Amino acid sequence: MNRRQFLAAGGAAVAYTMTVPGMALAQGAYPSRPVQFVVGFAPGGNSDVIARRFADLLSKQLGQPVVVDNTPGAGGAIASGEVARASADGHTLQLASASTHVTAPLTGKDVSFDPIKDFTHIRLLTLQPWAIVVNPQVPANTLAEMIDLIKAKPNELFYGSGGVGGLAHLTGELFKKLAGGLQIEHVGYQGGAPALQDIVAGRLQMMVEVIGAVLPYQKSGQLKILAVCSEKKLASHPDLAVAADTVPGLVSETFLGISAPKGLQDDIRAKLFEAAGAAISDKKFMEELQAVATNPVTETTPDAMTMHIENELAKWKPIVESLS
Amino acid sequence: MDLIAHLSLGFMTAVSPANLFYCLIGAVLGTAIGVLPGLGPLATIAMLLPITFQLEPVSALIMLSGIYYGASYGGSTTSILVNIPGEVASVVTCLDGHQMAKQGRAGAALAISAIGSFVAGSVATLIVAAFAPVLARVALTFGPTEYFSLMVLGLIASIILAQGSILKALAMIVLGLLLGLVGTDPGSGAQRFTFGVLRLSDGIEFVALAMGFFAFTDVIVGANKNSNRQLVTEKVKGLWLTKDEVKASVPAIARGTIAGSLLGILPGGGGMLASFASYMIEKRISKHPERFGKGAIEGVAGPESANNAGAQTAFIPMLTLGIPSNGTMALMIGAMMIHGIQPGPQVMTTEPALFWGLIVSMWFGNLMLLVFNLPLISIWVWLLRVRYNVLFPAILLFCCIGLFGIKNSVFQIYLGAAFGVLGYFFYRWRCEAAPMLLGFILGPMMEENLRRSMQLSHGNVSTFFTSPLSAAMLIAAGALLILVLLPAMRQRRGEIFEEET
Amino acid sequence: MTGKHFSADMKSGLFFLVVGAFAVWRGLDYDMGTASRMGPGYFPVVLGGILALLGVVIFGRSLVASDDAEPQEKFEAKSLFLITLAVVGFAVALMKFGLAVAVLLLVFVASAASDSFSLKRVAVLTVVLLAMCVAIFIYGLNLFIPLWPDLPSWI
Repeated sequence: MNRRQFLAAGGAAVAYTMTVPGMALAQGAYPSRPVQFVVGFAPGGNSDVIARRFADLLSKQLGQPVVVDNTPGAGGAIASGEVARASADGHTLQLASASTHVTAPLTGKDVSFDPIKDFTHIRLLTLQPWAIVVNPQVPANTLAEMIDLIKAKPNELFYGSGGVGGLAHLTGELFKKLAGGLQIEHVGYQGGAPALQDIVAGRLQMMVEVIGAVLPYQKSGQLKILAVCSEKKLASHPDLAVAADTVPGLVSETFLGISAPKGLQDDIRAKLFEAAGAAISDKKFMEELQAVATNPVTETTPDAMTMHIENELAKWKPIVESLS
Repeated sequence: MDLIAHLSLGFMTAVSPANLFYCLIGAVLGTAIGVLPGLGPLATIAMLLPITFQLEPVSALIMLSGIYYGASYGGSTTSILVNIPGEVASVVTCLDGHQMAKQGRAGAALAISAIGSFVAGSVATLIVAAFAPVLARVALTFGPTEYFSLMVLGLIASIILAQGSILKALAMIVLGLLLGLVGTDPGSGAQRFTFGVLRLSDGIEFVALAMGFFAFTDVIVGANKNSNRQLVTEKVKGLWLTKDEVKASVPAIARGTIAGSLLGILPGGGGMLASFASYMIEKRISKHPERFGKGAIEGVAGPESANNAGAQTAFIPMLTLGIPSNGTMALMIGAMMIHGIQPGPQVMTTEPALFWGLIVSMWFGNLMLLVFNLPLISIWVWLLRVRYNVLFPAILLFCCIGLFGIKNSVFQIYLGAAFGVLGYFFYRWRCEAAPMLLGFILGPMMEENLRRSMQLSHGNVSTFFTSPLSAAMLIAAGALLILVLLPAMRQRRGEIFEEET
Repeated sequence: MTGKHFSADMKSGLFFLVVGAFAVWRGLDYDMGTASRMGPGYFPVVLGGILALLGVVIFGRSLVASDDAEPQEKFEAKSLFLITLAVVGFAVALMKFGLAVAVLLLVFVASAASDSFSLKRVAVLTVVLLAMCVAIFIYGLNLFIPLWPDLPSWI
């Protein structure tokens, strides 16, 4: 047993046997003890909040506590590294994301895991498209107008994102590339919030941020959403333009999923796939997710997540290489 | 008047039995969390968040806010009693608060901390209620240029934290700035001073540094001294404040409240500076600055008030702009969104009961904390009578677990141990840790804002002087530096003279 | 101060000089960038330079001017060693043997640094502290801390 597992087993088992004193730990059937759900982000972030809600629903499906274990650091790379080395008995699971399995391995130098080979990816949970937003003073109301504006003022405008090398930054670079080599300089922030402050105040002209985070600012007139980088119009917000209609190929969504170390038994994997599907389809949870413009993935196949990550890695690799 | 109508609406919401109950739960829980070294409100709120899904949005926010300000009350207790700063603001409280405790005045230090916090919290609550929308605009005028100048001003001011050699204090500040740069560079993604250790890529944790330099160093210094020694002198001279102490504290609380309220509005790190700013003001205007660091009650009353005022006004950018000023506020925004409330300027009009209810509940929460904490003082003071050779292993243990809890990793304990050793040498070399800790906090923010200002101005340094706010702060920093250095030089000559005679 | 021993100022001055020089040396490996796009090397090099300079000034002054005396008390080598060992030992034991062993180790080693060591007192303290930790951190806050060593499954 490795360290993390050991910790989870010890701590959670003690807590669990206390809360359910009469219940003996069943042998054989999975899960036989509490399941550790490793989240590679600090408590309190958007992903963490979703993870905790999801863990709660998943434990109802599995009949064992699913305990969130926050292991933040290096964009989630520390968590991924630990899960990659954990034993694949299904009692160590991870909240996989665009950060932990796509951008961290692509941009990190000291990363010790392979996002595909070291994992059994179980199921996609949510997708959330990025949005391209501008300050209300910026004289552009569509993505096409913005492209013209950037072309008219090369290297004069700035766009912000929640972090250098993050998916928002890469999306911005993809936009520049696909729109014909735009010259607008990137300003990296530590998280989306400080960047939002600078764009609301007009120090930045443009920003790439998840749609859920910018909707309230559009409502209050502090920002203009030019386009969302989803494949098709959002069912919840059909009024928002789709970026790919103006800039073909500009599709970028951030995802969350559930993964385990490589070599997870097929029956456990199937059970987790079903349980995760049931948890994500909880009606109230779906409403909560949609309130923050995060789309629960209700229809999917067991292989879809691995394919999704492979596609993402292939898509962003050239962008990352062009940056360094 | 609108304000009165709003406040009475808030009052109606806040005094519902359920909301009072959640307010109490939050305040008590927050205090408990704050007392335990290393455990912050952020982790607690995150853990409780799923429970709050079942509550009414306003009740959930009231409880979470209670944890937030309750934790800062609790943090002061640990700083005063055992010299462990659990958060940035408590570093200042350690300086004079723990000295007071050592002199048998722990009761007074704890009392003035609670009272100061209450007064400041009440005033700041009123400020939030009356001026939130106006002040939100002030927050927006602060961009990278203004933040950089504010940080420079803060750094220069932090020299005043030092009691001994100003040169060594300066060196410690710069050392702190450098330590703050360890980790992933936010501007480029490069790894700096991490030596290939992935766990260093997020930088050194403040708590590891603070516990190493304060708690561990303290224990190393004291462990072998007179086994029957208590942490404080035998004679605990009364629990309550003396007349002189009250007289000294009242203006300090007033000044601290103003400074804290103003700095708290700034989402980009202003709140962190509140207690430092207040300490600086008190020491600067005191007729006896030499008392500071040796148990001056103004050095507790002012910063504690400033800290709590700042904690309250930090709600302004969160509630009115939807911009969080710290991790806890970011979490509160998350909580609001999950309840289907979009934070931003419209909250006040679309959810008046929630907005005003939350504000009024903050005042109730502060009142509860006062009522709850004053009787606790005698228990805390009693704790100090435990013999030191029983107390210090307990201090070590709670620090270790706190360090472990930061990231569920023992790496932070190793870091803390290393800083403890370094701290002991600094202690022997008379190099003070407090200025270094401020440098450590400001370092990364300063660099980030400097680089961003330069980038956004296309490399033009004059940007720091074309912004009137920024220019004013830089001029103030320059003036302060001269003010600090002049008497020091004069004093230095005096010392030399003294020693020769 | 007599010239016989290194004074506090001399030692700290040297320390700052070494750390500052190290920061400059490492910082020069990083990209310095331009004025409008400062690289990751800029700040460390500037700060390291300032620190080294301050170190030189502090060291230099200690040669000519009056000096901060080191504390009169003796160097607590035993405490320094034992307290650090207790903390590091706790961290190692927590991973390998669980909280119970770690607390025992920490309390025993740390108490050895005190000038009065009573086996009975230390034993009682261990039990009391362990009980408090279990109540607060494992039950109360649900931290991931193993209590006992990872026993073989047949037990």
